Amino acid sequence: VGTATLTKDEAIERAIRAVLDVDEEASVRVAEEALASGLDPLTVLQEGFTVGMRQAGELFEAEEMSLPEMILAADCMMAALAVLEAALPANSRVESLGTVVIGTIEGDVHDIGKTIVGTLLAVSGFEVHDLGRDVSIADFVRTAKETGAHLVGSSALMTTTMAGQQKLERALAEAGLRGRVKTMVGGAAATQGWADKIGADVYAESATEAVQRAKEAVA
Amino acid sequence: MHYIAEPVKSFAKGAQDMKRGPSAALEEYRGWGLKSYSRDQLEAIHEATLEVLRLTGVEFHSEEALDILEGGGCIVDRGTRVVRFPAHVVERAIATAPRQILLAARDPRHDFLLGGRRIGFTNFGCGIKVLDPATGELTESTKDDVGRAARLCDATENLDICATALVARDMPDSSYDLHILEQMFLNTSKHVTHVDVSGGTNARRMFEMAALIAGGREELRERPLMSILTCPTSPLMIHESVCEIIIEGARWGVPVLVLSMVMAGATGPVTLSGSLVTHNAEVLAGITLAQLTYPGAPSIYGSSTTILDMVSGNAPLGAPEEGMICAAAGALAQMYALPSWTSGAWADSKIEDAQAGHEKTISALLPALAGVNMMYGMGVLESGMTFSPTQLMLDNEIVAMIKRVVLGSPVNDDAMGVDVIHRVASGKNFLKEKHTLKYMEQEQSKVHLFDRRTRGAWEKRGATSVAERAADMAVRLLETHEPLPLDPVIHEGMKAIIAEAEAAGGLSAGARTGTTRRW
Repeated sequence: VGTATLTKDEAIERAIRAVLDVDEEASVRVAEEALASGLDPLTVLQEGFTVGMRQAGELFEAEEMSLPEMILAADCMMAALAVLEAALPANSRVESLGTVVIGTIEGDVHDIGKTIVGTLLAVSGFEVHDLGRDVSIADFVRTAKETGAHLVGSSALMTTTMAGQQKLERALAEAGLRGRVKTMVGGAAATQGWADKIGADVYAESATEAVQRAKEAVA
Repeated sequence: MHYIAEPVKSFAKGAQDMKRGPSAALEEYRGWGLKSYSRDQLEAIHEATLEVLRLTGVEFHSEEALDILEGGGCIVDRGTRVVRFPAHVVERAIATAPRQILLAARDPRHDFLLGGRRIGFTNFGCGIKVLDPATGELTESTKDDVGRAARLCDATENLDICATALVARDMPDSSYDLHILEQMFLNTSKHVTHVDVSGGTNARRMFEMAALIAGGREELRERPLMSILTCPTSPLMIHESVCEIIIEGARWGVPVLVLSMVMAGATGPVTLSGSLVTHNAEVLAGITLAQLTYPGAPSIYGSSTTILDMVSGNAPLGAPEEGMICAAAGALAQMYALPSWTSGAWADSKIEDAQAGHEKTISALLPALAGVNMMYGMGVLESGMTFSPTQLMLDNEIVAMIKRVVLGSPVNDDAMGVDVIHRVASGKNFLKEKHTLKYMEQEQSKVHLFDRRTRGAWEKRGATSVAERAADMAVRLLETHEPLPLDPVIHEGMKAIIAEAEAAGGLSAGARTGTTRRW
């Protein structure tokens, strides 16, 4: 509707800027104008918004972007993604890096860190099923089975709930899933030593590092 | 690529963005603070002070001061040189002294208004040793060190005005204080406070040096680019050089800070309130001399009063009592409507360690919360003997946090964000809220040297101590910071004034040799 036609380069540049400016309206507008201009949604997504989000992650890691800004950047990306994905034919969905089930272990209600990891995994190309907090072992296992998960991430803030991460390992093994499902542990109480001890595949200390390790684990 | 979040629970539908009418006659504080003594207690200290000044009096070692005080209505004994003060003379002096003083800076962007309950921080002040940030070596301070310290202070964000950090021990007696001032004006464009002036003659020479920058004597009165800190001798004595500085400063309109350093238990009563009385008598005696010399002269009420530690025999400036006395001194100054200046951010520790960190905070936080206008102590170790560039960097961070505390946090509908609380409701988080982005700069302290990261992130960055990081920062700032240059013609004029002082002191030209160092 009266919008100027965007070239591919313009769309990519504006997409990156919209994410870094944490401007959700601008992100959606670029996505819509790109579609109206007949550009390939996948290209705009992968060379524009995804690049912007990667840069936001790098800025956060370098302590040049604040946590709220990075999370809002992820929201911008998700909003644009919704617009672009709707325009894709049903048989050419954006290819996922893998399916992740995450949640905070039963008895533990601390989930800000887990939610941030989930958001960053989603904007990095994973299909994320966030089960929230206080999640029973049975729910983790059932969702992993139903979604054909490649990775199950569990978070524990307290030493009292850490034991649940070990129980989850065993339960996934007993369900016969441990062959194809990798596990990831996080939360303030978890350490690399703990991950090694219980046999978890991935441990990371920060959200950005978690994304990197998750990619390596499912590659 | 989907994010399937947990279901949204909303408990507060309809409760958002409701009308909130204006509040009538709501009492509110802006900024946080503390109450030390009550108004009645401060009045009691004031009355005791007036009694001491009237009955016992203060010894003044200067004929000129005795003349001025006698002319102003004081009772002077020429034999003992003791001056007794009628209460109305002291109270009139308090009334004629200005409540606010402009501490003007070579760069007007650094002008600092001293008064009210506004707080600021500066460095100490007269150190005789310097701790090399790169090597940890302790050496006697030189003229070169004075300049380097000033350059670092110039670059230190939370240091509002710049005091002379060190003494030029390699310079002659007749001119060392002038060399210090020359280094200050060359290396900082902030207001300069000279803490080590030898007497009235060199004070006058300093004002001439400052007037070269200001553009004349009247211009210097309008924009005093420097001030002087001077100390009575406790108990109840004011030395000749101090009298000269107070008189000369009053005549030129240059702010003079009369700062008493009572050691409770030794040069004053062991009780804090008792030492506050002798301290107060000394400071008010000095300010009365200034006001009788020139009514309206810019006088600053100062305190470095603390206890004498009966075990070590030293006067600790990182002690809680020091913070308490300075907070109370600030309250007295507020009662008098005089600008105040006390110790704050001091340490007795010899190195940049945990003791230093604690002493800095406790000695700064109390007077800061009491609204003392200027606190000096940044960069100091060893009760004032040593200046540490590394500690200055640490103190910059400590002072930033203290300034944040004093700022407080607003209470109003927008700041409390009740609508946002309704919207976010149970179990979610506020990270993505506009309210968070709007207020986070204002509400949250940030650290540059202190570490709030996870252990892993800290290890990745070298697992260093905060003192190591501070030393690196000091070295880097010294390598990169360029102060606002001083006009070479003005600098030549300053050098001529210094040469004249040295000639008058019997020193031939070129007789002095400076020492340069690398830190």
